[in-house]
Amino acid sequence: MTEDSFQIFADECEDLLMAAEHALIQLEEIDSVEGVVDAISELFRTFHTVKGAAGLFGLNAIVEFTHSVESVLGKIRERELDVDEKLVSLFLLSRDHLAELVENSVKGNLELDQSLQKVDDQLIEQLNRYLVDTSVNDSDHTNDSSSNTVERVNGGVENESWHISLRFGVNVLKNGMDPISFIGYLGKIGEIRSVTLIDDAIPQWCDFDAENCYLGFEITLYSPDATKEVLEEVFEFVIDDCVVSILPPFSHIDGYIKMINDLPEEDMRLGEILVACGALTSQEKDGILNTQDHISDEITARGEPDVVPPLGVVAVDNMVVGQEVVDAAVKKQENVKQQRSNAQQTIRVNALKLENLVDLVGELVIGSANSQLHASEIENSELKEAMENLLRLVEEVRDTAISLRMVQIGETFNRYKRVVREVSRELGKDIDLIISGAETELDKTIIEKIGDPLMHLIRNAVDHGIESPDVRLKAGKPEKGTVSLDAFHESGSIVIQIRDDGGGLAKDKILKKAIEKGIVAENHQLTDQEIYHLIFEAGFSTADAVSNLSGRGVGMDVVRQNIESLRGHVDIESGIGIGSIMSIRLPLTLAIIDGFQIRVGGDQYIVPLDLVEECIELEASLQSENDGANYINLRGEILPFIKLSEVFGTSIEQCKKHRENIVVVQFAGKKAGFVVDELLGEHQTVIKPLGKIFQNLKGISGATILGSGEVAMIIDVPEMVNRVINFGQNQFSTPRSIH
Amino acid sequence: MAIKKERGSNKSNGLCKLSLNEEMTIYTIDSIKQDISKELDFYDRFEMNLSALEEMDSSGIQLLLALRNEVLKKGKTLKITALNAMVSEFLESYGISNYFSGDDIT
Repeated sequence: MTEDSFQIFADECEDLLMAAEHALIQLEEIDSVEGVVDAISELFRTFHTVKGAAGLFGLNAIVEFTHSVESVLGKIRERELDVDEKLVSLFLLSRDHLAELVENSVKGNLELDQSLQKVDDQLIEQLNRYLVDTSVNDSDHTNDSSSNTVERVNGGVENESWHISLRFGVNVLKNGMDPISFIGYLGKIGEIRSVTLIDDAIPQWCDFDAENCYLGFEITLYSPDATKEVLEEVFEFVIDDCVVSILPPFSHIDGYIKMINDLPEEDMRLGEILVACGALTSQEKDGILNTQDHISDEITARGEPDVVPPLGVVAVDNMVVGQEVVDAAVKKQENVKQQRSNAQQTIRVNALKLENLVDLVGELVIGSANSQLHASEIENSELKEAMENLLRLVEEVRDTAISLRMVQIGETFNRYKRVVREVSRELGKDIDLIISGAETELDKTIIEKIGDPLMHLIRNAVDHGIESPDVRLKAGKPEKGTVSLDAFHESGSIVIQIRDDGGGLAKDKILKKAIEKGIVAENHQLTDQEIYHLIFEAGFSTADAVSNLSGRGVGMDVVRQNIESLRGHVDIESGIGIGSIMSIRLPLTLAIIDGFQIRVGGDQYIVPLDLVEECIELEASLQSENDGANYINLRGEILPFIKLSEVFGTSIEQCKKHRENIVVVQFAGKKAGFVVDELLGEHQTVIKPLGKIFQNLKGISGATILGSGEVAMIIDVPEMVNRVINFGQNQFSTPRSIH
Repeated sequence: MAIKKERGSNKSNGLCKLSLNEEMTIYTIDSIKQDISKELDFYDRFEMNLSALEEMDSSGIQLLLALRNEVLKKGKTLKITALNAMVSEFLESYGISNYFSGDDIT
């Protein structure tokens, strides 16, 4: 099997399973019967597609398992079974298991290991229980019962080989092809265990045209490594005028039923041939043929006396075939339609290629900055004009390249619906998760990395935030708690908010605990924000009862680290009895930003342009008389500022010669000023990460290469803003800076 | 000529000995069929000698099968009396080696 197509299979399964989970979660919210049936049909299709794809790759474990799920879904669709909470949970578990099976097979394991097999068996057993329960009163769904009676006893046949059924077209010989060559070729793919020649189609001697081909074969091929694709390729040239059915090893018995129905020969004879060539055990054959008899009996029982048994079999055959064909045709149409619309909308690209592209664009940006620098030295207006044009294009290319990596956050959000559902059930709480801003776009790498921290925060909100129903009722709140998840853009960042209407963070409790654990000193004066942020300290947990979900004090510090590694930042607002809001601010992208270039001393720095509010001149009159005070009056507002030359330790004498400027930045609603020596203007900034040595360097978030080839540091605005504010409050000397 | 009626064939005792040589392929099969058709009604025991056959394809096998069906239906017999390695391999590939032993007289 080719790696590429296998990867596509894995990707597709992931998408499908994601869709399945989404559909399952929504299932409980639907109240109309038709709505449920529609949703179930959708689920059925989703699982069916997974099954089909897995069958193509000969992944029998997946096929069998999916089939069980499908059977139960089928029952629901036929309204023989009602959906309840338990069933949805079972489907969710099945979905998870399926995801594991897919992962397992992607790793190249065709076999299940013991633990997987155990889960597999358990789930199938649970699913089958639903099938058995309803079979007591099932009577008239011939199509269903036919498959179910056989399936329940036996999911797949015992045959470990491929079964290939061939009926060659009349013109095969005339077209210069010889059936023997196909068999010979099959012999190269695997070991041909048996060949049965079917000569039933050869007419009487007088009608026999020796140049026509009337031959058919039933072949048993043992080849555990082959895929259906490979085998299909064997018959590529004759597929148009031949009937070829290929059944993978341990195929589901349905496949054989369908094959037998599709072939022109009489069922009984085919059954015997299949037994003879080892495709089926005689028990399996009897099972198949009995089912069909059973159906015919049913038909006669339903009062159609005209139908004599042999004809009845044929009639049923026709009916079954007819229904299947119609179903298949409808499905095919849908698939084609879907494929077409998908093809127009999206194209799958390897993430690495995309990464490469963005890297290259980054180099292009640096290169063009270099060219521009040299061009500006040459007094040539035409060159300048061309350069301007080029720069504009580069900028557009950059934006487009970055937008390629942008993904809507909705899919990630939807995952949490399930988390909230399960966690709240477990804790005996009733909680709604409200999602908004799902269409907000964010860099794919950031989305991937923010998933786990978000999960943790949401669990915390459900676990610690929302009170238990009786406590809520006593507090005069609705019994049902609400957690909302929101995403929106705010000045060059994306903000993800997790809001709960729970008890809020108890400041005194947090403080007490922190002192207990020695995280802060006893007599330390802390602002509300600082107290809230204590929950992100390592080894901190205030939950009185440690549940298996949260409360172990592991994680929140990891959450903070993860967010900070993305150059992000967490803010907490909370009110006792009202609830809490956690706001995560993240940069839109990790690759290239619009920067604002400044000079401090002899060095150049970059401030992300989106965060820059304005630039003002630092006039003497603005500065208060007291030299030590680090704030100015900006149009009646207090603006704390910091001299970057002091922070970065560049010599002050140099600065004196210049008229200083203040860059006013805003982050998370807080404003601060950076005093710089010179404003150099906009700069397309390709963010280069700093090495490990600089990991603990506060105030710098990365570096970039300027057109001249010099390195400029990118200022970590959130960190710096905090530092400015803390500085103003004289708390800069706190040994452990808390933010 | 790809097909030859051998000496020893006798209408009175119903034995027809046919020997095939050169090729029995899609290119010659139609004429072979016509030649056999000419003899079909006059004999009831057919013996085929395939040892001199140089080339064979599935149309040849198919012809043998059609002939076998025909003679069996009329209560006659068909037997391959001699064959070479090429033919025997062919019959084996198709799993029909025992079809032409002449034992299955009905």
